[in-house]
Amino acid sequence: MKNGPGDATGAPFTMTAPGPAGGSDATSAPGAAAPGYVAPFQMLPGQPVTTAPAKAEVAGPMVPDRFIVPGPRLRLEGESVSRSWMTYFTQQEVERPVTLLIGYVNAIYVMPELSRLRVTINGQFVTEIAITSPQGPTQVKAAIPAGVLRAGGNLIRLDMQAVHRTDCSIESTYDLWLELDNALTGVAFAGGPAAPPAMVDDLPAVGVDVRGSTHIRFIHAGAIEPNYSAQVLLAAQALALRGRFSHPVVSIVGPDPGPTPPGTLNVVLGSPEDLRNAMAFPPPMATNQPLVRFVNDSRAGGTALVIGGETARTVDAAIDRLASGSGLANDDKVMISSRFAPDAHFFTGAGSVRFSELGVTTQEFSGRRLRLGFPIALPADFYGAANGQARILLDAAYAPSVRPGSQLSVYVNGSLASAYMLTERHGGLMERKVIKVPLTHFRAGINRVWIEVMLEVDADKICGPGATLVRQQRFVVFDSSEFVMDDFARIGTSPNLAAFVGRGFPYFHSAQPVAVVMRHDVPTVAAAATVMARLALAHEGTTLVDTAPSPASLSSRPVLFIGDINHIPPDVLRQVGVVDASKIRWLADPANDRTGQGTTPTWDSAIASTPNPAAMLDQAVRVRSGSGNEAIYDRWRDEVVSESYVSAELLHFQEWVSRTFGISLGLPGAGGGEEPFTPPQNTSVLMAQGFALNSNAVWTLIAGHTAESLDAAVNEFTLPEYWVKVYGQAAAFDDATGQMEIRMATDRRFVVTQPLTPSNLRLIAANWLSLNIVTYALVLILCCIAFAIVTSLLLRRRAGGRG
Amino acid sequence: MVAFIITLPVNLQAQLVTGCIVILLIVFLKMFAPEGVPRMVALALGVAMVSRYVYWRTTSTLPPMEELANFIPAMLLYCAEMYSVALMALSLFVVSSPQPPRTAPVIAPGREPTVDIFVPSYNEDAGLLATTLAAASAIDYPRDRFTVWLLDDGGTDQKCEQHDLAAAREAQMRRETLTELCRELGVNYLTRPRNEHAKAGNLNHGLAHSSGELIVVFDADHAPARPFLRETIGYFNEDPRLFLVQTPHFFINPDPVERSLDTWRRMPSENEMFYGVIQRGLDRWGGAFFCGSAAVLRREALKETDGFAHSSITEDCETALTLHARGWHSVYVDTPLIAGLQPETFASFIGQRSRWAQGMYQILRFHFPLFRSGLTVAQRICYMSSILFWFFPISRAIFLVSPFFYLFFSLEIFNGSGAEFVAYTAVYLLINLFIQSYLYGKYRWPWFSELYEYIQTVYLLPALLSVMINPKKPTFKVTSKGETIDENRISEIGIPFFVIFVIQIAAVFVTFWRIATEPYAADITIVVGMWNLLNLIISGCALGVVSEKAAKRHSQRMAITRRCSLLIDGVEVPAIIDDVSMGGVRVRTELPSEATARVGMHAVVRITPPDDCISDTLPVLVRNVARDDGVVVLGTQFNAKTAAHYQLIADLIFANADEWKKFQAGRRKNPGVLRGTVMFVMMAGFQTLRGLAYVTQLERLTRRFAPGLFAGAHGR
Repeated sequence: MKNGPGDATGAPFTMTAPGPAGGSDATSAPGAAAPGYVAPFQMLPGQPVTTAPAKAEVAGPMVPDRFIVPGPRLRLEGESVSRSWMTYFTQQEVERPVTLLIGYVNAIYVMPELSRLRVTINGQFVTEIAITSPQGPTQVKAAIPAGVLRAGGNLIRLDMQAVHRTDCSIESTYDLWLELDNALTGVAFAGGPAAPPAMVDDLPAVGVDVRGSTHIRFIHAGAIEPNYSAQVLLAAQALALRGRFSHPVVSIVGPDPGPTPPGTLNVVLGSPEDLRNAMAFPPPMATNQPLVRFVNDSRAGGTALVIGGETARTVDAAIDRLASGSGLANDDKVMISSRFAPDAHFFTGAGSVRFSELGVTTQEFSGRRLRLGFPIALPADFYGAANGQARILLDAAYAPSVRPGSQLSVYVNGSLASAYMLTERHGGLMERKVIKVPLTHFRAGINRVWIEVMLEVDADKICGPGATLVRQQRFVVFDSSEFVMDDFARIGTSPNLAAFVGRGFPYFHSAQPVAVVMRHDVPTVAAAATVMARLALAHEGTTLVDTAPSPASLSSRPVLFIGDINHIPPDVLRQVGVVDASKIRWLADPANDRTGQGTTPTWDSAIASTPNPAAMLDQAVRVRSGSGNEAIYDRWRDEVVSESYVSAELLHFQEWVSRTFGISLGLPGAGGGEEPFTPPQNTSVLMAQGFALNSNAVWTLIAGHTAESLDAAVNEFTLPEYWVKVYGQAAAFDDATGQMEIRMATDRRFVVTQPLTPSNLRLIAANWLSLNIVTYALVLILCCIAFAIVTSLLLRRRAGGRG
Repeated sequence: MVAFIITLPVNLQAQLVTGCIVILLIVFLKMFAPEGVPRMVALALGVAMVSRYVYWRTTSTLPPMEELANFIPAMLLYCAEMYSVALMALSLFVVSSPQPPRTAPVIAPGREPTVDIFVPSYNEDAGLLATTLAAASAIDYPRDRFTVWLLDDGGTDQKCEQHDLAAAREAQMRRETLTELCRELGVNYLTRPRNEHAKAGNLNHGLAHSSGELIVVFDADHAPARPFLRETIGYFNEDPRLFLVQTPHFFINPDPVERSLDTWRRMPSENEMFYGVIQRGLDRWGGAFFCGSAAVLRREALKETDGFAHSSITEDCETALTLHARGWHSVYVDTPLIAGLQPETFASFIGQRSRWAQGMYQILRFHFPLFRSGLTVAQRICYMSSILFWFFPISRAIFLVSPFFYLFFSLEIFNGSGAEFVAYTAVYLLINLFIQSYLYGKYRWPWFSELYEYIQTVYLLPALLSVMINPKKPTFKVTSKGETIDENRISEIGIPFFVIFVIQIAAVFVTFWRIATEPYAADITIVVGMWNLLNLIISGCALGVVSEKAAKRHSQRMAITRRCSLLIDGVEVPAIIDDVSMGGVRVRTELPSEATARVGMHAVVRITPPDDCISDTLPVLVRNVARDDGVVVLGTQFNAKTAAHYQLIADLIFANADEWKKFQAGRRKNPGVLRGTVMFVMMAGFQTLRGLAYVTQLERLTRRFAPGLFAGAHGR
């Protein structure tokens, strides 16, 4: 690993140098309240002003003992935004007095007098601060009252209410943001850092580093044998699951790796010999007894988790014991809460879930643009995008001041899925108002659904002096609203990268161990382990790995090829639909070009952060079809045609038709065709899926320019923010810009995953025929012809009988 | 499999594309292979798409029950739509393969059954009756095998002895006149003590006083053609369980709509859809029913039910239903064999239709054909189809007011986006139009069903609701015929149409206002506005319907070619009769130099008389004279004095039914959906202006200063 876990140079804001740890302990003593920060305004009316013990105070910045921000960047954007996640603590940690540190910077437009950031932990109020730091990061400290934190998972929730200084327009709400400074945000324990977790159950308390990642550091001496890499790949999965890590990054280092940075777990894995090579004092091992235990070892970076066994089988048993204790048995949830709480609701068919369970609370809103988001998880064999439908049964109301024509939009994975107009002139009360959401943009795995309400109010048009100070409630949405999923077809399809990244399909659904074909060098194995850990989290389970599959078996089982492109056999490239390795032009040395952190998206902005709502379509993702000429053609057509009024109207109509029905009237040959995929030259990770020659075995390729660049880029690529955007047949990821290029699948094959009951068959047929419209029309016509012939015969026979 | 395909929840895109493909295919089939299996395919395709619409409409467009203000009108609209779809399904079944034309079985000479011809009358004048009775007597059938009866309900003892002395005297006069007429024509006059059970009672009285094996019923204005019995009697010899042979009602005058819209000569009459397609379809399923006149019935069958049924005011259909349920058969002969008169004024037209609607409801209520034992399944469906049709006033009224719910009150009664509307509703509406055109195109032009239903709805809705509340209340009212309209006027019951029109115009303004002020909801407003506009077009056309033109001629002219000789100004010259109407003939001749023809002269037409007529001369009055190259064309008016003259008139008009058939065939052209729609819209525009001109009295001014502007020049 080149990028050490403690390396904070990539953090976005480091203007305020962190002071020495513990140096400001005294400032957290109660009573030293800073005058400006005793919440002059309340966020919610009718609530008593909370005073000590939650007084926020400023002093020299402290370095947190543990970072808590779950991601490279956390940015709250808009007028009323909230974000919550789970952070885990050990018993020792919660027994100590704890100070919450919030380092943040905000937009200059945010009016400090009225804008607030409130922090609650486990539903209990911790602090509320005025948002006053447009110049650079400011750190705010607040003692967490005793008893608020508990051993295990703690729900940390940020609520921001922001008001624009001058502007009342909807556009201006995009200027309101607050971003946490990861390096200054976290918790500090009285008396310095607590001891690292020493029990397997405390694994989640390993926490995150300054970029929100958790590093699993395998300490290993000597060359990597296929057997060892198989164990690493399996152990990475088990640890990611057991630790509920939101972004596990695996590295393999030699003994004596130095001190353990925050958010890092040292692991020593393998046979007694492996342990002996890597440790000063390897723990004794009983025959046939799997060993899973934390030990303190000077050569293993201090505290390290030892997973061992006398034989390979015992090591597997040890890993298995680790995985089996993860307790992820909740069938209707997919675990994402360490990144974004609550866990995503998992729909395997028709069902409904209330907003309250989705983490959306009842909200009265007085601003202009309200966004509510929640994740929805779908199974790997989800096959309903073409015809399926979900509904939002909305309980909400809007005030008479809201102008009719204000719009409520539903976005799915960054694309506009549904729009509803508020049309009543004198305010409206919506009771279980049905808003249909087509499943067009839903994919297997985690989907992000956003409801955005844009409220147009006459007062905002005038926007007189002090207009932004007036806080009149305009809109309310109740948590009794529901998200209802209609039944959808379930059958696996391949190639389908969305199902692969979202649920590990088909690898984790196969009874056989996953065949992984790679070179057994450190960066490749680390990259493979990072991917496997991510897949295990997506699937919420582990799968055995076969790192030395026999070549003959490759055409009969799902295979994962990982490595630098030059070591991928040309046959594999051909089968997964990628051009020959020699034709791919990589940047000179991508590893040195990595400046990823600067453009790393936040969870929220990954979906959209542009002021233009029409441009909400995921800008970071470009979908490429066959020729790639459509965009240019459209632009030319628009320019050429807009000359004449009539043709402009025609164009308008044609656009409406194609927008509404997805029917394109022009430019033939938009289908992808069979030509192989050429990744753009700044690709750092290439992912592609295909089939083995003459068989239905799915092959997936994950490749980079070199093994080292692949390892580095995979660490970025597996960030949930990027990972969930992968779909189609092939994806090329550029870690410098975060851009993703997607190639859609043309030749999809079905894999039966569910019993083909009549109702499932019906839905499958509906979805398939929605994609193959002409076939549908033909089937309908043929049925009618058959029906007509039968009827004619019957009529004739009857007539004959009568005559 | 079909149900699977129909209920498959494919996406909007697939629905739209499929809908377009299906529409194109239906159009294609209609153009190139309109019969046989391809016809079935087109119908099946239409049914499939309509079913998809119904499934979608049912499962995803109804507002939740919590929103009561939306839910109730939404359910009304939904029910109205489902009623239309159900009726369409029933009609499709009925007309799935109409009975092909039948050939009348030959009657062996000497085996002709005895026939009683009943002409029930209530208040028709003697001249009208004379024509009918003369035509009936002239029927081509052994004279000793049939008897003609005038069943007079206007001269009953009850009428003659009523306390209103003037009316009593009138009734006594009527009885005398008619008795004399009947004597001259060799017809039996029969009246009865009391007017019980209206027409059915009258016929039953006739049954009790006669003994023929077969009964023929002609309404007072329905004059038969000579071959009437030859074309119908044979079926009774073939099938001993046959109780009815029904023939179509052919009209020689336009109905008020046709007259106002001036479509009589170029567009099929309203009833041709029924007699041209539906009765044939019913016949195909053994469900052709008795239509009150122009039919032959078997006495043996009627005996089983004690004569004609009289619990409803449509005794004809009820009688047929009862006998069908007892296992008797019926036959429909699709050849016009009688010529009759339609109600002349809009008011009497509405009166007639109210009776039908109420009577059909009574049958539904008293007999409920769906569960009537004895009927075949097909017959049950046929009767349900015929009866349920008469509920159209309810659905039509809902379609009429539904746009107002949204435009005026902003109620959301149809949960759907603009895209869904295009993909489902528009496709459904188009397919509906095309299927109708496919089934009835030759007999009914696009949008005229809607027009006829709309103009009836305004008055039939209250009539229907009243009979639903009190099914026993309605009594038989005789439809008046042979009325004349002396001057251009708005029908006495025309005002509501203008009121509705004004509301719809207001709705159009509201539409534009809402589009301007609420651009965010423009798509829905446009859709609803278009719907209202469609209603407005129909409603505008109805304004023309209720603006009645003065009728110059009693009935329309039928072209015939018949040699005769003309006695005029003291000379007798050979001549040709060009056309004939109920009022007179047009004669073409060459006059010698010593003779002249002037308007107002008396003349005599001499023709070869029918067998038993005692006279061969027919006095006429010259009404106009046109000269052309030495050829003189005289328009003349009949000046009938004796029964024999009526026999000659009947012979001229009714001798040959082939002319009627040719005339009908001339109008039976399918203009196609597109052309038909354009024609309808243009006509509606003109009629709207004409209606507005009438109501604002502008018409009188234009008549003075620009004669002919609103005189119906349109389309000539």
